[in-house]
Amino acid sequence: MIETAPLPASPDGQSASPTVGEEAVGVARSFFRWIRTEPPAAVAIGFLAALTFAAIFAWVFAPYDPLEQDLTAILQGPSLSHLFGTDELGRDLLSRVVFGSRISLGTAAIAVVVAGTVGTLAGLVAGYVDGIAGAVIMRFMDFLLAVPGILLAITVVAVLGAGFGPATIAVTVVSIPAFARLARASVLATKEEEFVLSTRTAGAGHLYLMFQTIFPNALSPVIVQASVAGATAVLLEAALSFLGLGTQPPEASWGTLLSTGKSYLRQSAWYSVLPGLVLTSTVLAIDTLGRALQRTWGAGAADAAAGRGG
Amino acid sequence: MLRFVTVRLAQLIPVLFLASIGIFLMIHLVPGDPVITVTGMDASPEQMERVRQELGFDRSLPAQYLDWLGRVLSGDLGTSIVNQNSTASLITDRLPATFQLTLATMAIGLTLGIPLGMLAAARENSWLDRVVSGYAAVSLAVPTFWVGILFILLFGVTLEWVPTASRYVPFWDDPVEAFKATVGPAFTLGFFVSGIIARFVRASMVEVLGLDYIRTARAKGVGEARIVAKHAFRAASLPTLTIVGIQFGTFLGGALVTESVFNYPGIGRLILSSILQRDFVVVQGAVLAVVAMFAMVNLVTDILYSFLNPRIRSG
Repeated sequence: MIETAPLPASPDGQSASPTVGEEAVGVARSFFRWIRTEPPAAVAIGFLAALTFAAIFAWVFAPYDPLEQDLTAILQGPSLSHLFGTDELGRDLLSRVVFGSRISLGTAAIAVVVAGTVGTLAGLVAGYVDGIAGAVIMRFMDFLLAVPGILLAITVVAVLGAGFGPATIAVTVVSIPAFARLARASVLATKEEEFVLSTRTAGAGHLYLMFQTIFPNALSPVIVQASVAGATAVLLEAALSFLGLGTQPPEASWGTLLSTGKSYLRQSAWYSVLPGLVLTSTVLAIDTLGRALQRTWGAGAADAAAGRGG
Repeated sequence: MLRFVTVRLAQLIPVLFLASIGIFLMIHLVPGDPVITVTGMDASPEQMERVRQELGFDRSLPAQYLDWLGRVLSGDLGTSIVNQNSTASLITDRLPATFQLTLATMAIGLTLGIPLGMLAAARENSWLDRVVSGYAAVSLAVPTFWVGILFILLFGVTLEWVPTASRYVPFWDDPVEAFKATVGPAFTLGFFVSGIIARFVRASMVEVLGLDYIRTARAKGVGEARIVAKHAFRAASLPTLTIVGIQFGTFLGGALVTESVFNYPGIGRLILSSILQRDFVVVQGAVLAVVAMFAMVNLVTDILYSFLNPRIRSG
């Protein structure tokens, strides 16, 4: 059943009910076997784990209070006391980048979980019920896809007002349709398969069919899509904050750091280089992880380019 | 062929109709009173009531929507509540700048992307292939506004080859100045597109290079360079066309971020500044126009594609 280097959450890896402890060991073992075949994914996971850790325990990792000003040391380049330099108010940039990671990762996590759940559910229902309800759901998704991602996000923020919450909602809305399309496509692909028909003949109810029989087959493309959507969410949040529509000062997000840094290009080039480097590395790491999963499962996901650029 | 075009055109109508409802609702659910945008904060209640009636805000939402839709269909996108310009004229003023930027973007994207994709496919699984796929991965992951900032930092601030803020100079008026003013945003967006194009060219050429007729050509002694450049590329240019079309459509209205990094006066900046000024009439009209253009470009791409590849039409 399992061919090469399986993944822990592999949807087709159903084993004969081991105990919880045995299962955990098995999962860990197959994870390490897999990670050896995908060195780029190992690097990406390491980077993301470190970043997540730094975000959660930001007050431990940040060398300074991210809001503490020191007007005697403004716009300095990197030094031993300030590894990333200081900003226009003498605040430590590394600390602001560390605290900014909470906003980037927080937005991405919320957007992926909420959009993944809502989108997948909508897609499952649309594929399963077909008929009018399905058509209405998918036409609405078509509308969301018809508007370029950043434009849709900005319009949502215009409705809700600027800030972390509205930006997160905007990013979530943009992420929903790709999940819905993907889930619907895999429902349509498996709905008439024999194992579904026989489960139905055996008397299974609609909910059981949808979630126990059909959904597991949609799981791997949805997980791959989650990584694509996560990377896009980080980019979109940064873009919104860059335009002044996301997180508001004095709090720092990577987008606002770059937007302020741009005003001081002549005084301090590092100000706009280093936060951008962290931002790009984060997106690259999530993308790399997603591509590794996609190679392993051969699962399709929406094109990573969708919703980016602009 | 005619039937295919008609069907695709007909499919466009419900999408645009839904888009118009979606855009209208989004704008009209905005908290905060657009009337204040017109009258200012300290207007008397009577003044505000008069403006409210002028804008038609005293009527029900469906009535307002039908009214708006009727005027849009007759070509009237409304008048800006901030500066009294007609939305249509605001859009057409910005259109040449956006069009020039989009063309320059695609030129840069194709010039970088096609050779990279061809090289990667010709040397599949070599180190060169991996370098190209790394390039594509980076181009997709790096935020356009950061590429823009780095471009300004290097060529504007350090080398002083180009101005640090962009503007629109029509190419026919002054090609040199136009190049200087457009190259920044065009490179920023072109770098992003080149990765997508390289990926598509590589994928479709790898597929074609495994086909029978390529093997036949090889067996007949046709040189590898000629096979890659002529036979395989011709087949691979079709899928590339689709992606070029989609990106073209996106940049016509979606280059909001890049345009604001460079202060480039295109449609994206028009929409962004209208949103920030709460000029709902312009936002409504411009977003609808952008979505319509986006859908039209996709349609033309589809039709062109099926024209070049007749197998699609039956499917």
